[in-house]
Amino acid sequence: MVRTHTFLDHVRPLQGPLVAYARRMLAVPSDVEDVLQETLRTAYTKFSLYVEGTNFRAWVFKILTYQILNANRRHGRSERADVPLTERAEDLAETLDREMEYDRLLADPGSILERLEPALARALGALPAPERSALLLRSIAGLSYREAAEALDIPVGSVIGYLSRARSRLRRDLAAYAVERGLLPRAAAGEEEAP
Amino acid sequence: MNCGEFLRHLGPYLDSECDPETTLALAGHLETCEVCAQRIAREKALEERLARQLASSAPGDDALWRRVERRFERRTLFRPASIAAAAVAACLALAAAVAVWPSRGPSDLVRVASADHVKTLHEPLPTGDGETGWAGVEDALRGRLPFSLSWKGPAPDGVVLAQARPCAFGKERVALLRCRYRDTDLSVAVLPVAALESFPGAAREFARRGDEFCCGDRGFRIGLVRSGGNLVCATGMLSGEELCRMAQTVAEGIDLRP
Repeated sequence: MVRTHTFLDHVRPLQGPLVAYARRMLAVPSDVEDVLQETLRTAYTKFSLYVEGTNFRAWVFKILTYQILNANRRHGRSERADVPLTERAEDLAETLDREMEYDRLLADPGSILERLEPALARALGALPAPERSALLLRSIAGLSYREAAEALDIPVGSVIGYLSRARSRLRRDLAAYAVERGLLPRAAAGEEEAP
Repeated sequence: MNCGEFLRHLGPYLDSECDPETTLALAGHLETCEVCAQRIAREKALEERLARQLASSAPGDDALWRRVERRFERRTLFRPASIAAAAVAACLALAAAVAVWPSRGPSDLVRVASADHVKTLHEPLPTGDGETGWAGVEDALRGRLPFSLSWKGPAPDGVVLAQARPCAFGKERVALLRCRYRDTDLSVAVLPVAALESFPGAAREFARRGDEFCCGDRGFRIGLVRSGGNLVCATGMLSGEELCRMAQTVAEGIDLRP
């Protein structure tokens, strides 16, 4: 029991990020509870291998990511897109240059994003799994590129590529949704950026 | 560094993942380029807002987590390994209980005595009256038991002592007096009353029924008597009353000394 409580003492501070990550990654919402349960069980059985003082957060998220991939695979949702790394930085830069709507989103992200949660969920769901995973491991779990690479079992360069692509797509989609909903004015051709 | 190069490093810069040299170069550019400085500030604000939104909890998340923890604790405490260990422990406990059962029930000494009697029935009993004789018990057993034993009383009426030899009842050493009464072979075990410690079932029965009682086992009757420091257990195919009377006579006639 002592060991169980010690383990839970480690994992409880991660409750919010773990649930949010699982909820946003799993193809079937009803899998969330089972996947988290299995993650805790697996992490607990391997807890003796965890070295005190190392990054417990990264370790647990790696296990959770594996459980999520397995669960999604059972539902035939194991898409795995390979992103050409040469496009990674240019995508974001080009998007920033092209999308005036996105630029308006930048100007007041708080008020717009609050009203875009359904759109955010849709845009996130439309991302290929590796991109979504890389983005959420960074945004929700707060993992470094190296830790995210270990969690996803891919090179660090791939994480950078997935992240760049994911951010680019997500922001573009959100800006488009915001325009559709009338939250942002539609950009006119030749319109200059507001100072 | 120009604005195009800056934008290529935008993502890693936002994530604080640029190497020190690139970070310095980017910081240098930001000091001189107001447009990029403004953009990075807004990008950072958007990124932070987006991260908060992505990590935000949904209604029911807390309840969900509590369920997960409850299930985890239940399954951890009763996980298959624990169940297997518990099953093994239960089997061991059952085996121990079964092994110990005869010594815990009232029939412990009775069962040992009757089992020994079954064995002795397969051994030829010396013929003749008093091969050792009641008076010869001391000589027959001298130095062969952890206690000395001598006969001091009158011989039991009609009971012929055919053989006296040491025997083991469990961990206790006893004097086994093989007798014949009419046409019946008897086994009369004599041991110190202190040996009842090894037979808690019999001790309990004595406490409940007094210094004398009889019972049956394996088709035999067994009469048990404790008298003074002696404990006598007579086994054979006689009535309980006869066996108890015989055991009583032996218990009173035997002088047993540690």
